[in-house]
Amino acid sequence: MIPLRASHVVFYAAVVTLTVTVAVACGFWFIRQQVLTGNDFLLDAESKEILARVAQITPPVAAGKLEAALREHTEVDEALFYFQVHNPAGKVLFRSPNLGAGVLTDLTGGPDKRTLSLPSLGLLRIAEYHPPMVDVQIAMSLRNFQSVNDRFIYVFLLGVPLIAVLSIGFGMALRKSTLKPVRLMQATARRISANNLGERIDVPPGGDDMTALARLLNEMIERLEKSFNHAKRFTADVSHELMTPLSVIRLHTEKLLNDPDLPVKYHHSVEEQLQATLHLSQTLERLLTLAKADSSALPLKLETHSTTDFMGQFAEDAQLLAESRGLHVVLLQNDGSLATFDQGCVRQVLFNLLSNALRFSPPKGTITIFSKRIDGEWTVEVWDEGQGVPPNRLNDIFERFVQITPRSEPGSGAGLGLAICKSLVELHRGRISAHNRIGRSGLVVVYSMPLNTQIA
Amino acid sequence: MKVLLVEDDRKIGQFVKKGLEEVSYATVWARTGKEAHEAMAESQFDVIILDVGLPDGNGLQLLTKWREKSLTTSVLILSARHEVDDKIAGLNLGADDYLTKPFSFGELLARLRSLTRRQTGQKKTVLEHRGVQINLLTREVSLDGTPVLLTQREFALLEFFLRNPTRVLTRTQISEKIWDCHFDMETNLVDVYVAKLRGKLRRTNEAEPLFQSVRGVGYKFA
Repeated sequence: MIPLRASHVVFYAAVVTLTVTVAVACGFWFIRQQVLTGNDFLLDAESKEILARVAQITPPVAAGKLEAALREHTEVDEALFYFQVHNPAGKVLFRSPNLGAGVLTDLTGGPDKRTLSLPSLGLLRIAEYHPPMVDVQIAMSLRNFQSVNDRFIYVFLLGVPLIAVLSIGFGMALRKSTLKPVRLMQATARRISANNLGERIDVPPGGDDMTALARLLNEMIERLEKSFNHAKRFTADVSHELMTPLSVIRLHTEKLLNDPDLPVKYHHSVEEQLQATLHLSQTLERLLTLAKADSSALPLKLETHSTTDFMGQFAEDAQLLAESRGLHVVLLQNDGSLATFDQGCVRQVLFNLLSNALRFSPPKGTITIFSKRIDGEWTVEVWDEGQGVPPNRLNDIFERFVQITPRSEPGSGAGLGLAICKSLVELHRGRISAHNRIGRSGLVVVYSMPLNTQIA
Repeated sequence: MKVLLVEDDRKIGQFVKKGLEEVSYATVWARTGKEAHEAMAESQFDVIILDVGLPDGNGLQLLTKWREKSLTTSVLILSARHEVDDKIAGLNLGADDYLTKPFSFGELLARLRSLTRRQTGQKKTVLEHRGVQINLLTREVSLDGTPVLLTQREFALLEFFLRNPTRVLTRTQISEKIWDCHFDMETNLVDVYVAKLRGKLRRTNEAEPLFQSVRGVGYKFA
C-alpha cells in the first residue's frame, strides 16, 4: 500500500514498529527456549551420573554416606552445576560447596524443572530428580544468559522508538516522492484559467495510477478548452456578423442627420432611428458580455489596489454626476484595505449601480455608498431614496431583461445592467443582493467579494 | 495623406472610402489580407485602418506580420469589441488605436487625425492655448494669468485638450484616456466633466464656451 496522507504515514509507521517488535520478541522467546532446552539436556545428562552414585549407597541414606559418594564428583563439576540432596521431609542432607549460603528451593509439588531467581545465586535452572529415599536437585546458573537477556532488553527498548522514528521518516519521504506528481498536477491545475487553457499537466512516466490521473485531468481540461473556445468563437462570430451591418446603419443614419438637405419633417425619424441603433448595439454588447461571463471566457485582469483610493476616485465622479442632476452622493468607508480585483469590472458594476440609483432618486435625494471590510470580504452597499422594489420581486431584478419600471422611461436600459453586475461580481467569487430600506422608501443593493479573489 | 483601408464588408468599405476621399484622404481599399499585402508592397501609407475579421484570416495576424517586419505605419484596428478578447490585445500587438463597431464616421475621422499627428512628440512642461496655461510639473493651472484650482480628473482632462488643440476629441476617446474605461459607463460623465471645466475656466465677457461641442461626436478646444 502506498501511504498518501499524513495519517497513513502514522499508520504505516505503527504497523512497521509493531511488526518489528513482534518479530524480535518471537525471536527472543525462541532463543530462550533453545537455551533452556540445552540446559535441561545437560542437567539430565549430569543427573544420570549422580543418580547412579546415589543408587550405590546402601540405605538408610545419611549425610555422611552422600558426602562420600558425591563429594569428588561435585568438586569436578562445580564450575557448571550446583548440587543439593534432601530427604522427602525437606531436610538437606548434602550440598555442594559452591552453593555457599544459598539454598535451592524444594520443587516438590510443581514441575520438575523450573527457572528461579535466588538472592545469592542469581537466575538458576533447577531440576529435581526422585530416586528412592531422597530428592536430588541439580542446578545451572543462567547468569550469562541473564546478562545477554538484560542487554537485549536494553537494546530492544532503545530500538523500538528508533524504528518508529525511522519508519515515520521513511514514510514521509515515501509519501513526498509518491505525491510529487500530484503536487505538480495541483500546481498546473491551479495555474490554468480562462487565459491559458492551452496548458496541460505533464504526464508522469510509467503506467501507474498517477499517469492515468494526469491523463484524465488533461482530458477534462481539453473539454473545458473546447467549450470556452466555442463560447469565444460564438461571441466573436455574433459580434462580427451583427456589428458590421449595425455599423452600416449607423454610418448612413449619421450622414443623413448631418446632411443639410434632409427635410426637417424627417429629422425626428432619423434621430429616432439613430438612437434605436445605438440602443441595439449597446444591448447586443451587454448580451455578449453576459455570454462570455457565463462561460467564464471573460478574462479578469486581477491586480491589488487600495479600496480607499479606488472608492475615493469613484465617489468623485459619482458626486459630479449626482450634482448635475441636483442629487447628492455620500461615501462612507471604514479603514481601507488592499483587495485584489479587476478594476475595470468593479468600476463597471459601480457605475451600473450608480446609474440605477440616479435614475430612481427623487429630486434632491441622497445616494449613500458604504464600503467596508468584513471578515476577509470587501462589501459595498449603494442606498438610494427611490421607490424601492416590491418585496416579491427583489430577487428578480438581477435576472436578464427584467425591469420594474416601464420600458418607455427615458434613459432606461434593456434590463441587463444588474444582470451584468451579478455576473461580474460572481466572476470575482462574490455575491450580490438587494433589499428595501426599513423606515423609509429606498433600495439597497449590496455586493461582497473576497479581498483576495483567486480564480481557479 | 494616404490611407490603406482593409475591410471585407462592401458597404462599410464603400462608405468609409467615399467619406475619406471627401475630406481629401487618398484611400486604397483592400478587401482581403492578400490584397492588403499587395497594396503594402506597392506603395507607402500614412495610416492603416484594419478590420479584424477578414475572409482570408485574422487582421491581427496581418498586423503581427507587419510589426515583425518593423513597419512603423500607424494602425487603427476596427472591430466589434467581442471579436478580440480585449482592446489591449490589439494594442499589445502594436496597433496605435482601436475603434469598436458600430462606429461613427466622425469618431473615425477624429482618431485618424490624432494618429497622423501623434508622431510629433510634445515634451514641453508648460502647455498653453487661448490663454489657458498648465504646468505639467507643478500642476498649476491659470486662465489669463489668474490661478485656477482643478481636481485631478479635471486636470487630466484639460491636459488632454491642451495636447490636442483644435482637434475633435470624441467622448469614447476621452473616457478611455481619463477613466481607462473600455465599457459603456451608462452615464454622461464626460459631458458633466467638460461642463465643470467650462465653468471653472469661464471668462465673464466671453459668449462662446472654451470647449465647443461637436454634434454627435465630442468636444473641441478650438
